[in-house]
Amino acid sequence: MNQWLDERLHISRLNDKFLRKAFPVHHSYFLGEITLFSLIILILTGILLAFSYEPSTRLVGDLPAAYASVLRIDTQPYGDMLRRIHHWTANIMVAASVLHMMRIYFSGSFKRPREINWWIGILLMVFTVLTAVTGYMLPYDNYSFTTLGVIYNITTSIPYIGNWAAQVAFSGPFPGEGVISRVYGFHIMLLPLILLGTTAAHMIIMIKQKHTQPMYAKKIAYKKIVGVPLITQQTPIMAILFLLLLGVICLFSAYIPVHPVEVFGKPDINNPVSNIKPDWYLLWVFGLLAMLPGSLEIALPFGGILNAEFIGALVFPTLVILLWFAVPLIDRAKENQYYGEAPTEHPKRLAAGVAFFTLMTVWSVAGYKADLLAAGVIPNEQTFLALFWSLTFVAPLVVYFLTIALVRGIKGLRDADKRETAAFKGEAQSADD
Amino acid sequence: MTTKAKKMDPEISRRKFVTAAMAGATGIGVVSFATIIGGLRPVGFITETQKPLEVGDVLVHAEGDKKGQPVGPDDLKANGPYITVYPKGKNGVRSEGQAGSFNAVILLKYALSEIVAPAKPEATADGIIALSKICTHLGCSVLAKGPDGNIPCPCHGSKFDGKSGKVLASPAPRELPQLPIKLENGQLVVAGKWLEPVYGAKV
Repeated sequence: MNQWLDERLHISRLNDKFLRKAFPVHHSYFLGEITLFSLIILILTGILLAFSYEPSTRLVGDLPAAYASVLRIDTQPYGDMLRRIHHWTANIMVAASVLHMMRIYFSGSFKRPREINWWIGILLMVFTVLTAVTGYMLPYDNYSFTTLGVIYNITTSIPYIGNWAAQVAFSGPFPGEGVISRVYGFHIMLLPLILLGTTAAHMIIMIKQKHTQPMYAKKIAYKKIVGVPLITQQTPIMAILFLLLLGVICLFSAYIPVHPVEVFGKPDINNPVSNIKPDWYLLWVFGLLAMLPGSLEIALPFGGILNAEFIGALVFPTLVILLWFAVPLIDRAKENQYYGEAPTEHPKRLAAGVAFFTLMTVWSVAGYKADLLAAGVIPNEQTFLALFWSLTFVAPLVVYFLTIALVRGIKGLRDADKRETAAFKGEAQSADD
Repeated sequence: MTTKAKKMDPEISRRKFVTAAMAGATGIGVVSFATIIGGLRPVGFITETQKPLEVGDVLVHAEGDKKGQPVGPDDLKANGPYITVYPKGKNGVRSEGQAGSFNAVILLKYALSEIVAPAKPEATADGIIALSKICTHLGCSVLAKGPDGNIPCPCHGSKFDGKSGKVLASPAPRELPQLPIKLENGQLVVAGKWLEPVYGAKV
């Protein structure tokens, strides 16, 4: 049969070109695969959910059809489980892509010639988050509804075109009749298409440029590609990884409920859910919004207003994304990079990365403002603002210099150790003579 | 002279023509696509329930057993919980606003002397103050009064004082707008326009 196909389709060329691609053997190289497998699980469960979901705000009794259909899905056999798997996998996909990016960053794998794939990777992450956020809105329960309202209002905060843009994106003034079908279109057509396209580009470029080799490959065979071929060795590894991932997700979904729509109730503009927070990956934006004084308003020429909502929810995140884009331009290699670098060999890059994640953590904790104040951990709002604004500036700096000092210190100790050992050996040798 | 004549030669090369044609077609395509995007914004038509409130509207209960019935001064207890009300016009209850529900109003009762600036005591009736229910930060509806007697917003932790609408905790940029009300035949009636624009209203 292979021969029959080969005579017609030349599949042996495909085999030579793609199916024998060498995969480095190292556990940190699984993170990208986990992201890809999550996407596959999301597409499959998403298709199943779309069979029973009704994207409409039309009233069924006194419930919007979208919310009613989600309630119905929950009563169907395996329906609730399916929704939980979809939701959990979305979280895991974002988490895996963040970890994947950290691996690339700390090992310097974004350097020449892989800058393009780093940029595509950032786009992938941005679109993953956008897809997750639009998916969040679809159940149209009270929680999603309030979140959707906040996102609508953030869109209106764009200077000059805000109202128009928000009405285009969310089908008229919120809550417009078509808002759910609009968001549904984003979530199941537009964003997944973009995601699949960018994923394909990411994969093809990766196959073309080959993985950065792990450090140990240098010792085994210098400047040679070390790894196991996709077929047949890597495939069973992938299959096992996929099944493990699916198993873990099913366990999570079975025991840890996510987004219980029955508890939140139908959308009710007068009685919002009492404690609203975005998912963890947007908590830093949420924290920033809680930290920026709303009275901050800068008038622009021609009647535009630059307000705190726009700065916190759109300007800052854009700056963060631009910073990621700039990474391969700041830390450059003169020649093509074959091997991943040890993070400790590049203390400044390591320290900058750790400082960045410290800042994200500070802002995310600031997202717990209402809880911190209510629990009395922080006595009043002035203390909260003073504490978190000073942490914003101080914490990353302290962490940056601490990391560099630690890395250099350990390196110094090791070098001293080496020198002493050598000296000791030398003495022993001379004594033997 | 000859070179100038050459430059002004009306004949253009095939490459130039094709490039210009493609650029032109792309331009037209982009402009057409922009109009399609613009068309995604539905033409708004405002239903009776979405119209902004008018002077003379009667305030009616938004929820609970008395939903839809006019609010009297006895429905409120001094320093008690607030009640949510909607203005009721000639053609029905204005229960929905656009871009949020700007018509949702909360009523709170205090001793008249307790109502302080930035609220206007003269715009209250019988110690009852009417405020917008929409947080001025990102347009969430505020929650019921907390144990400290203040009104929290669920979204980003803003807090408001019921006696004045004043912001007690940021990030809300300005106080809850006050609605002037008066007592007429034992019913609370809208006595004037919002003293400050409600969240999301065009200023």
